[in-house]
Amino acid sequence: MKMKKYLAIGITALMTIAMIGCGSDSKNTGGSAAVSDSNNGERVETLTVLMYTDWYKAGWEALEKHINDNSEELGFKLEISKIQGGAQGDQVLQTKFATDDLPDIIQVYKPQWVDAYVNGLDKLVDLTGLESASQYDEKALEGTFIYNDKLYAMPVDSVVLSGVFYNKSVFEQAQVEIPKTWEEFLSVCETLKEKGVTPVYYSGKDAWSVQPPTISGIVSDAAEKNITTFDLMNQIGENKLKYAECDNFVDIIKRTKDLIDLGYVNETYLSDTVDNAHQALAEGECAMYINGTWCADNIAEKFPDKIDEIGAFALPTPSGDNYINMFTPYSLALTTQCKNVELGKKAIDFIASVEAQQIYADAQPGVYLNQKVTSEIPQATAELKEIMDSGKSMTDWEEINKYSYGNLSEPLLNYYTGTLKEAADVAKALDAETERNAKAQGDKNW
Amino acid sequence: MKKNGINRYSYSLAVPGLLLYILFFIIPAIGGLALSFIKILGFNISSARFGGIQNYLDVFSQPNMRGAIFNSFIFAVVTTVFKMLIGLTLAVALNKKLAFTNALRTIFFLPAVINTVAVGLIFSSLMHPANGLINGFLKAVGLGTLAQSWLVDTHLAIFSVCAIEIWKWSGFTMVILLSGMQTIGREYYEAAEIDGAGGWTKFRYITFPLLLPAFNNALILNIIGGLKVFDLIQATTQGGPGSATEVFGTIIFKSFGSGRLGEGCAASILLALIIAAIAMPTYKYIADREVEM
Repeated sequence: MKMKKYLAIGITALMTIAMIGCGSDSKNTGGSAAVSDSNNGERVETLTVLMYTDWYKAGWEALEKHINDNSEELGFKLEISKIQGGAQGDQVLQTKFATDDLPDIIQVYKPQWVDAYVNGLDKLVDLTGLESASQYDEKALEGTFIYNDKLYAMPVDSVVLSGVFYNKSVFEQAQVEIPKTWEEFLSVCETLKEKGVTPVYYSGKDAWSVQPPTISGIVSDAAEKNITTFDLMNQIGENKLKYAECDNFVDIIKRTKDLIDLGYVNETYLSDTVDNAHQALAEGECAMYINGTWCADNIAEKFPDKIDEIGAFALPTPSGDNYINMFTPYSLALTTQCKNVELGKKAIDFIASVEAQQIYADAQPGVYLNQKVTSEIPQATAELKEIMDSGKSMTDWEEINKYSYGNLSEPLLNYYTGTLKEAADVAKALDAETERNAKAQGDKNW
Repeated sequence: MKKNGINRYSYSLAVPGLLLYILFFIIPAIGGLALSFIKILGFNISSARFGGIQNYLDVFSQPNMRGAIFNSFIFAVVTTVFKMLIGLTLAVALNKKLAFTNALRTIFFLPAVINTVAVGLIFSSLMHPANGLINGFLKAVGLGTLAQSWLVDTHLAIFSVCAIEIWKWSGFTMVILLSGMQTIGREYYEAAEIDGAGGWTKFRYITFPLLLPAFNNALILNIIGGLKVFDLIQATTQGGPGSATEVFGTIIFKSFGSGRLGEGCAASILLALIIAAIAMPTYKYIADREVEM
């Protein structure tokens, strides 16, 4: 009996010690920086980088290889950690910022996101003065990467442009031209429908994809007021303007439902996915699909023999003053956890430079903000880039809101399926969610 | 003295379990309760302030709350009724020594061990209105008029998800009930047979009354599982189309996902209270009618 008693106490103690052992740090996951000496006696420091898994694509893969192969020359290596993206990833980043468990370099949506959603702007290093910044159009950096008058991050990855992707062969066979106004757009749809082609494809199974047809409405509202989307979203963030008061936005929501009601959209749109849409567009089963340049990238990858048949244009408005949305690239920022700030700045400067960005672009073609980078992009993307270069684009408003409006696709689908009766109800749902978040923050404007 | 020694010995064995329980349940539960009275957005600690019962009021002012509550109850009632009926039928049928009894028990239990996300993906594909196997089969056998937009018809979608849940968990209910049936002694049935009782009479007067403890457990598990459903909805419809299949669980997920941590905690506590308010009286009602073997 006594033996059993001692055994039990012993096991208890052992388990407690084991638990304590499990809780201790086995590895330093925070910033920085292992140092090693190269064969030449040069010091090579390893900088830790954190990003979402889906942001690590061919471009990063090529660039990481280049940097690590040339680490002796550069003086640094990268050790990239990846975490799952989406809402769960956002929460992980929120936790990491809150607990100062940060890498040396972090890839985030943009500094404003770090400010509004993570409350961690003070944990990013001001990069003002980086040499590579001169290779970028300052207007492209302003508002997104230059935030509160400080350069908090440099762009990484390509710009995504949103517009109407169309199958040129289908248009040719139906003898229709690219529409410039909404009236012309409806006329094209009618002709295509008569020819037995689905004019417009919606992919409501991937709920987010019902948003792109509507998002240029806010851009039209900003253009009508002769302000930028940054200014317009500031007004919404300060409770001086409501989404429901943005007439063009409400109008385009209504018009996207009109397309369904007129029979211009695939009947099974609630069950169809983005992949279905790309396939239907590439194979000419549908004529048009409204989305971002991901669409062209995906078709180029999966249907390379069809990509030259895909073109793109701005979603027409009733007035014909058509704009496209520009989703700015992700941001690469240096955190205050980096022990060797100068080296961290040097690393980001190199990654943003034309040399590194060209390596990135060669592996992952796209529209890059570094003006000296050239890239072979699909024709459809090039056509949207032309619109951007002509000044008919604005930074996507969804990325620069002070308070989250929730999930646009949910009220949109409620409207499309009849649960919400009016287009304005969709905008009001965004207003309600914005208000909830502003009040949760304790914003005195609300 | 000896009793004290035994007590200390017993408590020392309970210490690791208690520590884990306190660390991973009691402390987070108290923390969650405290947070439900705090207004906070994300991890912006500086903006955190006492909000009283505002978070609880905000839960009910969520735009889709009424639909979510309705759907949660519909889901709980429909799935519980059918899982119990099908589970009971299967348990009665497979409580006999047949050639394939063990194989059939395994087959019916198998859906319960399949990952819910995989189940969601499989059924999303099967239930596709144009390309899905279900509509394809119905059309092939001349029942095309029964083909439906299973997961995207706003009126039908919640029932389609119910059907998937019933398919997945009826076998699990069967196992619980089967284990209860196997504790019932043969002598009850032999005595009844001598008295000339038929199958239905034996079930009604012997099997079911003596099965009540297992039946009660299965029922409560199904009610709780139904009211707090989240994973299957997320894997099949994500609460859509729009908010047609929104349930309490998805509302909580969205509150947390939007960074309204206090509101998310308040919603979680409300859900726990609702479940307790339904499950506890139900359990007691049935437990009072149980008979001893």
